[in-house]
Amino acid sequence: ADYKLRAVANSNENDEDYDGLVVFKDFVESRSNGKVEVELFIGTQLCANGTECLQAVEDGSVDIYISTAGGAANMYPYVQVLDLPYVLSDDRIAETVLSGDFTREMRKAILKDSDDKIRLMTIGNTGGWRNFANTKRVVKTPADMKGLKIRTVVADLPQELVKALGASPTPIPWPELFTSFQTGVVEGSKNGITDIMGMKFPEAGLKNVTLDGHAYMSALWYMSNENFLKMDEETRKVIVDGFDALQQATFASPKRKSIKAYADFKKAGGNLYVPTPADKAAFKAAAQPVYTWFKKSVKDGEKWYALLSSEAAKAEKEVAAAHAADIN
Amino acid sequence: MATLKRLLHGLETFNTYMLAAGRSIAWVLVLLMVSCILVQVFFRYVLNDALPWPEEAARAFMIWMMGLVAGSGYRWGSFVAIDLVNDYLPSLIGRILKLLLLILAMVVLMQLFVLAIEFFQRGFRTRAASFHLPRAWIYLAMPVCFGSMLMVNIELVLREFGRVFGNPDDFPDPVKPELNTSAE
Amino acid sequence: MLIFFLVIFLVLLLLGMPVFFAMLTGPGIMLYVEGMERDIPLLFRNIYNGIDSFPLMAIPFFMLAGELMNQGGITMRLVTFAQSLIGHVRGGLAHVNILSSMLFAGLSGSAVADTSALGSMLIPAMEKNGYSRKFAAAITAASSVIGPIIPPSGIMIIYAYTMEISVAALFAAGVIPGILVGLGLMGMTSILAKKHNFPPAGPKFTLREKGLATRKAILPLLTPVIILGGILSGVFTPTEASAIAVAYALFLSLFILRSVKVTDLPAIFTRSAISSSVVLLLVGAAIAFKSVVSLSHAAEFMADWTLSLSDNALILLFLINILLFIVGMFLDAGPAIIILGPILAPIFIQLGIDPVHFATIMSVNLTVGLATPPMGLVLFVASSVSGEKVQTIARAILPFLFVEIIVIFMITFIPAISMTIPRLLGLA
Ligand code: NA
Ligand code: NA
Repeated sequence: ADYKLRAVANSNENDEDYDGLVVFKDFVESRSNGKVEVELFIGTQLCANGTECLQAVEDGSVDIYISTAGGAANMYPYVQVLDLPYVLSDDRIAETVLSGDFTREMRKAILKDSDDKIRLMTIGNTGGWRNFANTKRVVKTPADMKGLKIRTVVADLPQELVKALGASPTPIPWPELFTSFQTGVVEGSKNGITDIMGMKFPEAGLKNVTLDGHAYMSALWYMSNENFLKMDEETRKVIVDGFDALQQATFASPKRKSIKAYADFKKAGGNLYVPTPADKAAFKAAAQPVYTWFKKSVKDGEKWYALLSSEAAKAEKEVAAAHAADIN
Repeated sequence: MATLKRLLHGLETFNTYMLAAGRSIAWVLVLLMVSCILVQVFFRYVLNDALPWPEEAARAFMIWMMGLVAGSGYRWGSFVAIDLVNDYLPSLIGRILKLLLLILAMVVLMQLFVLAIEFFQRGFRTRAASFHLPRAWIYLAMPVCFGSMLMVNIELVLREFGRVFGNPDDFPDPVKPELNTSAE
Repeated sequence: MLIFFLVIFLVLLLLGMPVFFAMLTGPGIMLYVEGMERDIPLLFRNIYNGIDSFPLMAIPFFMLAGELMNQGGITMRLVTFAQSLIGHVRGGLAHVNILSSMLFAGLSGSAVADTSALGSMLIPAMEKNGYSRKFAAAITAASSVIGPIIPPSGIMIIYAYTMEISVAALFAAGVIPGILVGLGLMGMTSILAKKHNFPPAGPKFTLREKGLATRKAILPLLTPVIILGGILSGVFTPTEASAIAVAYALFLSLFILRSVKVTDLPAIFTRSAISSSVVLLLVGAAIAFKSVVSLSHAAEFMADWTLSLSDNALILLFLINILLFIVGMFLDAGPAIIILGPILAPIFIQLGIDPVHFATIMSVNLTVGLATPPMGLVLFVASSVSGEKVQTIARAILPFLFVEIIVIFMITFIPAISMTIPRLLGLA
């Protein structure tokens, strides 16, 4: 092969990221007629988190990497716009937005902030939607969140959100989380259902999930810009198409995987609460301080919030038009 | 040989002061690490209000603690090695082998030092997750770590060189500082 | 062939290069030879990445807590307490040595700390009592491996950190195996004591003396209760528990027992800073080394090879124990876990072995490796504490190693030994 690409995902082979990579690898290797070879490094073999791996992409030691918005927050704080709660209303809207110019704008910003070293290739999904889950009670409205100790990663936005809802954000390392639920060090978390079931959290008492869907679990896929531009144009096209196929695969995979996860959750005695439109509006209202925080404290926050909102509005219109054409 | 001895002596003196300075800061950092974590426990468990920064701050102190005393650890032989082969070799050959390994280690440390400087410089583009500080100021501990180890390594090379080509008795180990306490 | 880095590493190690440098030089040379310069920065970064970790911070803290406890008074009290319990039997001081290690293990996470703390006190005492110096040093080294088996444990913290499993579960799994090693060593001591007619340490303690010894030891002995109780009841995470242990040790030694003066603290803190910085660098280098293991696909190769030998979990466990034991002879437990854990554990988990059970097998086996020549850290320390040559101690330790190997196999083939407590607590 002329080009050997090294792809890293910090998750495992049960994860949506892996599904995406398998599709990408197959697509790129076959369409390039063996000119490109993709080597997968799943887990923490080469680097263990967003900061470490993005630095490795900058160095050129890693060619392809996927992070969540939280994972890149230290390097490019504005990507957290994707974690802003209740902006993207459902899968179809999110997918429309992420397939459009929003991703190109973000590519420009990241290229600029990384000295042209890191190229955002596409944004897919990793695990569906984040929901609030806890060990204590069924949360129907923001008021029910009051006082709960909710585990978050150490990043500003999720902590602001938890605080805005009257709960207390508590940083706990992921491997200790099971025990921490059990012992009561924390009482809740904000995760997708597949992660909740993958870690068997219901066995530790995490039995109440509120489907508030506060954040789309965006997955940002990067490539070393230098290694990308080194390729001839024909090959670059194959790579770009490969990332498109990957994006489609990661859009689809969580939908398929969550069916079993939800069934298992119920079987394990879990309570699923689906908020009414009124409940959801209450959550959105309670989350207002997060928007203010984002616009004020994050560099170009105003701009990114406006962009995502307008792209979402555009998508809603597109989808509405499609509905109008398709329903009748 | 006399030049070598003078050179070595100068370097020994320099290293002694450099390492002592590092140690006198490092122990305070240990104290700060402990304090951060106790504050974290207190706020979460007693006040039911977890703070985001203590963990990351304690980690930064730990990296600096390591950077400041790694040279001392290296100089006083805390880096474990298998001495087996050396026991069976004639003393001169053993010394030459030791010298070669030290030179190899020196090359490694030089490379690490250069990489650490780059690492530091690029660290201005990332900030700590829970407080407003470029990570570069944490990363700076790495050039300090490998730089001081490199200084110690050069000292070890010079000394071993003197022992191979001169009279071993003229090149004794440096005096180890007293870290003992008045035990009961 | 990138994989030759393993050969270079081993040669440099055997020639006497410090482990830290050998772990970087081997991969470094081969990356240059293979034209993979772009991975040199990766090697460097992973040293840093490996060290910048919250779970790992428990290591300096437990080291410091151990240092504080050891500083005057506390170790002494534990030894006296042990003596009040079994000092009067035949081979009394040898038994006291083992029991003290078990008690000390609840305070300290390191076999090295155990050897130097108990060795400096008990080896001279045993010599005076009529034991040979090599026997005294050997029993000290052999029993010190209990230190990282009974929680807290630096080795288990490293395992949990590299393999992303719960420290609490692993700590809970270590309790019975640690006690078992202690009882096994005592059994062997009884046999040897009968054969060589070892003396008792002294007359049986009166009830009053026993009470006094207990009262003096009770506060230090509360440390493991606070650490484990705190972790298991959800008051704090393991790293937080280690900081609490430091605070408790400071409180005890400064205010209650008054065995340490405030002016002693800088020296104690500095000593533990130096010893933990060496461990941290070693962990960092091992994480860097591990990334080259991944790049070279040595891991897949080894996994395939292992499974080609047999797909019977019990046979493989037997073989893996032999492999681990050999690795432990040459490599320190921490680096060995970081490098081999990610390769071996998935194979056995796939074969149906519980992750916590396998973690215990690996941790105990490699911990025993700390007391085997040629690269037995604990042997070096026992040698420097006693003044006896490493080779001499290595011969005298053989009967005890035999016992420890039997315990390793018991832990391997009777999962209940390690899994009962974690299961009862709902951790596994
Ligand atoms: Na222990
Ligand atoms: Na060993």
